[in-house]
Amino acid sequence: MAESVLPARAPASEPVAARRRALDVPVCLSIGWLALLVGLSIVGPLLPIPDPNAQDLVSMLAPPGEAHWLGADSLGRDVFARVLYGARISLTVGLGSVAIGLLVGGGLGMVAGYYRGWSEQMVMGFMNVLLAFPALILAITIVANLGGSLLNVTLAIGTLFVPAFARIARANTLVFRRREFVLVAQALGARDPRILLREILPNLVGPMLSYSLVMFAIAVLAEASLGFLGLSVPPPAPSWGSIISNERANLDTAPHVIFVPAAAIFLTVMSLNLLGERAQRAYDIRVHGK
Amino acid sequence: MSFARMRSRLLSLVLVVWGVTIATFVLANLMPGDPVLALLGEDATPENVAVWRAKLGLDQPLLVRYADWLLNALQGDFGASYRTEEQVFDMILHRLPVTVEILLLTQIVALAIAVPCGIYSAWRSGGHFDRAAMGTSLGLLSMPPFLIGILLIYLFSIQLGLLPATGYASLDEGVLENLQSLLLPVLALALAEIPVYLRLLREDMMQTLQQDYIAVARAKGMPPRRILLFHALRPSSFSLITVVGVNIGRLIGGAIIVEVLFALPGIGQLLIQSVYQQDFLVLQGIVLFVAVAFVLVNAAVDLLYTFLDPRTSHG
Repeated sequence: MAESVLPARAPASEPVAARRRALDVPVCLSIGWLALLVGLSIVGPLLPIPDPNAQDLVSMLAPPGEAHWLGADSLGRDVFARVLYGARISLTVGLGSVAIGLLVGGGLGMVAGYYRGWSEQMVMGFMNVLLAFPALILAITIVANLGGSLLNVTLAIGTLFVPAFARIARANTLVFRRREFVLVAQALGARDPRILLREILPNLVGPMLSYSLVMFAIAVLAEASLGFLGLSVPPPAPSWGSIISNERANLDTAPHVIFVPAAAIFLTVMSLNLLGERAQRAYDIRVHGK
Repeated sequence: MSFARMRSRLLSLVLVVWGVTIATFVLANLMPGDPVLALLGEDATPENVAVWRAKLGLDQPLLVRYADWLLNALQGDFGASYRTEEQVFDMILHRLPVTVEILLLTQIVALAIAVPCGIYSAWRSGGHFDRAAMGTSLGLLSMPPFLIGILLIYLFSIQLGLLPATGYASLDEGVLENLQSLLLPVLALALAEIPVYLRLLREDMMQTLQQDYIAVARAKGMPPRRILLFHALRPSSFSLITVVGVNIGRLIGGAIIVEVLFALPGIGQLLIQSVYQQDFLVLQGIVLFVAVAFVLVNAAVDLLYTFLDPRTSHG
């Protein structure tokens, strides 16, 4: 299936290209933070930092210092290492769930929008059922049934994203299927898969990817929320949300243990939101400009 | 709205609710792990397990169980908790007022802050207030409610010592005590909703303010307050109203988390407890109840919308 074309382009490249003329400080900072986070997540195991699960009972709730750069939690585990490994979890869940949304939702939406008729009714009916569940409740139910693991959390959040991506894909496909170049392709005898993949899909990449950034931010928030409820990756794996919920009792004596993952969530989601909004705006301007 | 459209909407509503019951049942019954073993423990004797299977109806085929469950649920019988044998429906009804109060108060607080700020932001768009409001909005949008809640606890309970960090006082214990115990949770939820409402109203308001009749009103020398409140607000508030309704789904998610964070005895806490205790009949009942309520509220908002904006009923 050539839907796999979609996530191949780096999502962050969009806004850079759109705003190259004027140096935009918030955008640069956002890209910088995300690049740092991705970089550290990749090289994390190679860095000279303590093991995220190694307990060091001498330095329980230690404030930031030389041995532990950002302090230690209630079991003496290194906060920096835990937040860094938490970033790996957040980013994996984010990428995975957005990929699921793009592939499944995008595919279903294109089929519904292109063929119309009963397939559209089936798909959109199914989407309406999914949308009938408050998002977090659906995620909680899926994780509760499948059990908390990186894969299951990704599946649960990805499932939430399917209707949203399906709607966008369908709406855009509905517009493009009546455009001249599609009619010409049809008249030339191109088969449906070719029209969907070569004629329509390229036009969906822009709106879908700019939307993906915002959805990525939502995925990070959702993973943190599930982690806070103890329904993300099982302990001792350090999800940002579970670190915060586990160390809640020490908020008065060692707030840094909570504030560090909190800041990580905040900066990551804000960067993604900011880039996503810029990307959507840039895309809108392109569309209306023509 | 014509009768035919009303009928087709009602039909799709019924179909969606039916789909919701199937999805809920499938979700709660395709899980790996045996509820009977979860209830009795791994070392239960096979005879004991068989007795409980029969008692809970788990020895029946899936379709029969679905039909039984659906017929009972239609009559308000969601079954009884595996653990406490309490009726699930009673458990939900018992917890419902707390959650509904949180949701209502949150919407009131969020709108009370977002509407005036949104109007002023649109009126002086690009100004200091607008830029501050937009920046704050982006920041608040980047925090899940539990994070806002923890920051509020840190600020008001730990640093200032003004409010208790957790705990719930029911209305019977006094209205003031009740509101005080809900102040931080509602604020945490409202702060997450305000940016959504504010940005939406600001956007629509800015479009309205470019209309000719607003220019005419200004040229007549009508005071800005009157223009904004009596001429611009109503036509700018339609998408806000829709979103306030649709947003209830997001809010319910937030309410679950806030109930856990602040130890409030609402439906969210019950849901999480049922997950921890693998009490799947309770989980199934709550999910169905909340989803159906959510669908009905959305349908009601949809209907309200057509009354508020007569154009939609002809379109």
